Amino acid sequence: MLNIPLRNFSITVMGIMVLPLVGLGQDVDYKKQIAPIMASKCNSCHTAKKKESDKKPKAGLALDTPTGMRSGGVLEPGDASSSELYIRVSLPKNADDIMPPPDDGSPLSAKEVALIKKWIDDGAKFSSGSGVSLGKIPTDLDARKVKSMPAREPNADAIAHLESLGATINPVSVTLPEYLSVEWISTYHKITDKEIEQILHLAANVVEADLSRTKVTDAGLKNIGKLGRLTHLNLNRTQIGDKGIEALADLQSLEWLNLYGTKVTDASVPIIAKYRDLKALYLWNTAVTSNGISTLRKALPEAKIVRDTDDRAGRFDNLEDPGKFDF
Amino acid sequence: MSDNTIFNKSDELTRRQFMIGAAKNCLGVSVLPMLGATVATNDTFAAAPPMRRGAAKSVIFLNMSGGMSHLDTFDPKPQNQEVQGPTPVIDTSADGIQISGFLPKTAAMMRYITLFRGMQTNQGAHEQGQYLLHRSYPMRGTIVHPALGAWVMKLSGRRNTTIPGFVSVGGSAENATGGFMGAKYGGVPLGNANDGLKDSKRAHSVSEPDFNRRLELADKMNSTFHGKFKQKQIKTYNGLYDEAIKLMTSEDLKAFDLNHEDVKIRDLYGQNGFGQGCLLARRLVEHQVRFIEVSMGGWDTHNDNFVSVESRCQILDTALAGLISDLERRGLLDSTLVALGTEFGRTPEINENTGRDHFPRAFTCLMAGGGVKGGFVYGETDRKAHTVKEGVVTPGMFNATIGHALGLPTERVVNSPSGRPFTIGDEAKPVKEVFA
Repeated sequence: MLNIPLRNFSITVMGIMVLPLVGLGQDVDYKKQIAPIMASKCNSCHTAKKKESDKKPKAGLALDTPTGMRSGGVLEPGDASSSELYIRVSLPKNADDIMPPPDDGSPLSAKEVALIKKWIDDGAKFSSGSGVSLGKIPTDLDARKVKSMPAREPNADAIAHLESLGATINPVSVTLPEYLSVEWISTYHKITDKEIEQILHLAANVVEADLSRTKVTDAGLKNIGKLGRLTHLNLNRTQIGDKGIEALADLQSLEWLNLYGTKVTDASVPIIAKYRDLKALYLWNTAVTSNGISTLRKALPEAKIVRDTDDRAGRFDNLEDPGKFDF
Repeated sequence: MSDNTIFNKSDELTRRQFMIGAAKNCLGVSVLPMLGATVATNDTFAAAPPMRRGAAKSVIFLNMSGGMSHLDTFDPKPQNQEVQGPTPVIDTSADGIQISGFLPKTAAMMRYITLFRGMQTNQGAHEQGQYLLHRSYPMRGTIVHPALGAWVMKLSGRRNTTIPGFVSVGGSAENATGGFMGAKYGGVPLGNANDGLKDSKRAHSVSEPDFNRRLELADKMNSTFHGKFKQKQIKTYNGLYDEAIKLMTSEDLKAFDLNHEDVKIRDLYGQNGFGQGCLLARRLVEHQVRFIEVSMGGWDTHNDNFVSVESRCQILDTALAGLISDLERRGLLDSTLVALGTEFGRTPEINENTGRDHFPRAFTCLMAGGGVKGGFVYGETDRKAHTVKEGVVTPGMFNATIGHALGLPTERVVNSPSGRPFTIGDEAKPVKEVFA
């Protein structure tokens, strides 16, 4: 009980100090204002491993890149007072948990703390906002070229651009901040090939794409077919068919492919059968026949191939050959 | 401390009620009476990435309330008629695993399921047992612990920021509490799956243009007000408007409406409250809701155990098998953990009313999908289902395992407002052996 007023008190005090120190109307720019604070006060301990000989970032937390900061669990965009990053740098100087630790560096100045607070309260944005030109998507991309491109720190402006088109973009895990998943969670019904094409700005980084229920067409899949690092692709309940699958022939890293509720037929089987890394394939409510399924099972013996369960509903009690439950 | 907390909470509630009332009167909408509590404060927090790649994205937690008899469901002892009683035993789709003959459809799904046959709790009363099951901590007078769904919200946030990330269907509203974390992390309790979200539509008497005009007007008045009074609380209430409006106009609202489902699918889950709750849960998973609890009562079989358990099992069997198979064919089972829990088991001894009494020493819970092994049993009881021989799992361990399936940092400490440290599983470690 006794230590909350203290923490709240410090936040309150900082809150009051914010107003004169940071202009209210101005946006805080990550590159110009936040990254330099991190560099001078945090990154001597919290820097991502770049090569084998580098030491691991303290607490597994890299604060030298946008992805490191996004995936570290220390930011609650829009709410500095719930964000570990702000809480830890704004503690009283004698507090046990203050960052940086007194032995490792001097505390942040009141102005630096105020900048961080405002930046987080405004949404912790990494892109420099409007007016940024992403440049054109190169026209000569293909799956092989994309796969040979190094997966570097994803372009924060490209992420912001896709987010402005309704996409949700996340690192696939805290430990793989440069590999991204792209999905359209509440906005899928408005998404067409035009928005989807913009994924190519992040071609080297995207490994999972969820286009389910979007308006993607066979023609639009031409762009998805260039994402050579793609391991997971969800196209369920889209209007795509065999022509679209043809455009995905070069996606040789695919491990998980969901095609349920699409127009694909046995004509797509030869292409799918060549996905050597495929571990799971979903074909419920498609026109793929039993023949097509058995061809696929022969070609991909390790893969789980899931088809119809509808006609088996209510017949689950047939246990004579449980292996026969082919879903 | 407690005086202060109660005062703050009641104050907040009154203000929130005022805001909801104001929204109703000024805008001609009701702002989701139950939802209001959740959306009010979490306008911005979105999902944090998982700790490992391939972690599950959603959890469907099936709460068997009343204490499900382990002998008559998932831990039968056919060699020992004295404790087994008349409950039949059948083989399953997983080699070497037998379960109760009351669950034939689930038996067919066993190759997707991990059984935890070594569950153990130290709570022998329903309320305390349910509390421990949901919150990993024993009930105390001095603090309200958050429910598991609130932990999920706190440690990873929402994936779909238009609708609530934590929904509880049927059962006690207590199961959806944010506890000391606050209403922000709590769930939305829905009484009945068929009702959907109440009061989430624009009133018929207000046309769409009219509605937009009213919003604009309210917005103008608000921005003057916000300009003058820049406070977090006010921003929060503004968030309530924004979220309610976002929801009213969203595709996601359809997730709550079971009328969009074909009758064949509705039958697959069983046309009863629990079955339809499981169907709703699947719809919510499709809309990226993080944590859905569906409750089913009636397991407190002190009397007439064998008749009662058989009738409960008919409902559970259809719903559980339907849920697993429907998730699988849609490609959702890999990323959705189905967990089934109960507060305790029931005595191997059959009492004078052909019933079984409370038995916290040994019982069974299960998980399916979400990266756990299929056709796997963790833990074992002795020949009378009386004592756990190996593989003891406490409710805290079970919850930590759910957290691990979601790729949450299960060791992360969250402090209560009074500064006391808590973790998702009361410091218990996840049972990693169950993951494939």
